Amino acid sequence: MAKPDSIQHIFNTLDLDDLIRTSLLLMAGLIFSWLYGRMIKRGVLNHLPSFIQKLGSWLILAIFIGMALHQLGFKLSVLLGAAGIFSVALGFAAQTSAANLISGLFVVSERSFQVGDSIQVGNHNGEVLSVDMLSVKLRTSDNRYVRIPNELLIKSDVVNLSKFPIRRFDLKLSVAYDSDIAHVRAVLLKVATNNLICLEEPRPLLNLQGFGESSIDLQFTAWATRENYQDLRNSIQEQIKIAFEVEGIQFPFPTRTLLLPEIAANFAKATDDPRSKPNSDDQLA
Amino acid sequence: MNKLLTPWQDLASCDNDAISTQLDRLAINLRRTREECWLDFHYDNDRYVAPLTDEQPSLRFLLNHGDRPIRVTPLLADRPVVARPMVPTELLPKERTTLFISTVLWARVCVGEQLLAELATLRLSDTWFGATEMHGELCYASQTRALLRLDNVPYSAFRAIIPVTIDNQGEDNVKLERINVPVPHLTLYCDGEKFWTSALTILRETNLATAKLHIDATPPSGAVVIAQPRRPIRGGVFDRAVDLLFA
Repeated sequence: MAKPDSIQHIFNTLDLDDLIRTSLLLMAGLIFSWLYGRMIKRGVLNHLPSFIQKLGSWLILAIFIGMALHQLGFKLSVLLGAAGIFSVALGFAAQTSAANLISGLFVVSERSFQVGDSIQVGNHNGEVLSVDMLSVKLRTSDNRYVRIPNELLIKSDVVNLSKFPIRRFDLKLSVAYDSDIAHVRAVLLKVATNNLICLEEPRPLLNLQGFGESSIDLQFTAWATRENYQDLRNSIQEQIKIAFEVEGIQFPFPTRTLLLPEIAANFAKATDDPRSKPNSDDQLA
Repeated sequence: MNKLLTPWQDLASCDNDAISTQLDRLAINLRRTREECWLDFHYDNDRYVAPLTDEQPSLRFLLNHGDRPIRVTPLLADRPVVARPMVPTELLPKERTTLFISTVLWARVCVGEQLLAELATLRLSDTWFGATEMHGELCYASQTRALLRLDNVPYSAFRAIIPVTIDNQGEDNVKLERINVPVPHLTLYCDGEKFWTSALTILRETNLATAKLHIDATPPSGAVVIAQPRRPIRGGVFDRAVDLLFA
C-alpha cells in the first residue's frame, strides 16, 4: 500500500479490501472488548484491581482501533507522537490527577491491600470498596463513603487490619499499689482461658508497664481471630471487671495527699518524736 | 446406625413433634410443625463466653415438610483439634508409640434431610497453630492425657477416640507439647461401645522438616461408619511440615 500523507489521499486510495479489513478489525475489537467485559462480570478477573479491569476493555478497543487506522493507511508513529505531546500537555494541566494516576499504579503494584480488606488511613477506618484510577473508596463502620486520593495513600501510613488471620488486643489497665501482682496475673489469665474466642495460642500475656502516680500500670494482651476481634475486645473487658470485683482487686482512683504547713509540721513532729510512737510494751499489754 | 450409643440411638430418627435432650453440656429443644421448626439450645455450666451476646435466641426455620423425622446425629469437629498433653511428652529417636486421644463430638440437627444446625456437645476454645502469627491455621484447643492403654480411656458417649501412632525415625526427640489432629479429614465410627475415628499414623522421617501423615481407611474391628470425613483426602496420605503437626 502507498504511504499517503493526507486524509483526502487516504480516502482516495482506499479499496474495498481495505474497508473490509478495517471493519473486521473494528468488529474484532468490539467483540474482544465485549468478551473481556463478560469475563469481568463473571468474576474471572476478580484478582485484578478494579481500575485495571476497567482499563483493560479500553485498551483492547484502542489497540484494535490503532490497527484499523493503520490498515487505512494512517501512520501510527505520527499518532503516537501526537499522543505523547497530548500526554505532556495533559500532565501539566492536570498534575494532581496525573499524580493520583501514577500513585494508583504504585498502590496496585504494592498490593498492600485489596477490595474487601479493612484498612486505616489517617482518621478513616473502613472496608475497601474499590481501588480506582484516581482514588480508593472506603465504607466506614458507621456507613460513610470515603474517597481517599491515591497520592495521599502513597504519602500516608496505611494500616491493613485484614492482612493476617489473627489480631492481638492490648488492654491497658491499672491496679492499686496494694494489689498482689501474681494474683492479678492469675485472675487475668483465668479470664482469658475461660473466654472461648480468646486464642489459647499465642498465649495471653501480662506485662508490667511501670509505676504510675497512684497505680501500677499493666498491659494485658490477648489474641483472637480477625472476625472475633471486636467480640473479644468487648467480652474480655466486661469479664475482667466482673472478675476483679469478685477477687477484690481494685481499679485505683487518682489520689493526692495534701499536707498544709502547720499540719505537716505537726505530722513531722509526731513521726520524729519517739514519744509519739507506740510503746512496744503497750503493744504487748 | 444400629450400633449408636445412647442417647444418640433414640435421636437418630424421631417422629415426635418436639424433642428435648442433653448431649454432654449441650441442651437442645426442638419443636416443629409442618411449616416451621424452632430450635433452642444452650450450654450448661459453660465457660463464660461473651456476656454481651450470651443470650442465645431461638432459631426459627421455615420449611415445607416439617413433618419429616427429626434426626440428631453425631459427627466430628469442623476444624483441626490441637491436643495438648497434660504433661509435656517427648518421643525418643527411632521409637514408635500409639497414643489414644479423645475428641469432642458435634451434633448435626436435621429435619428429614434439611440441616438446621451443627453444634458442639462441649464448646472448645479457639487456638492458633502455626510457625508464626502470619502462617498457620485456626483450630480448637483441647487437653489430652495422651493415654497409652485403651483400658484407661474413660467411656463417653460424646467423645471419639483417635488412635495416633507416631513413628520417630529422626535423629532427635519429637516434642509432643501440642499435637495438631486433622479431625475434619477423619471418619467417625462406632462399635456399639465406643466412638472411634480413623487411626492416624505420623511418620517422622530422617528428613526432619517433614512428616508423612497417613489416615487409615479401614474401620476398627466390628465398627460401622457413622459420619464420613468433612474434608476427605485422596489416598489418605499427605505430607506436612513437622511444625504443622507438633509444637
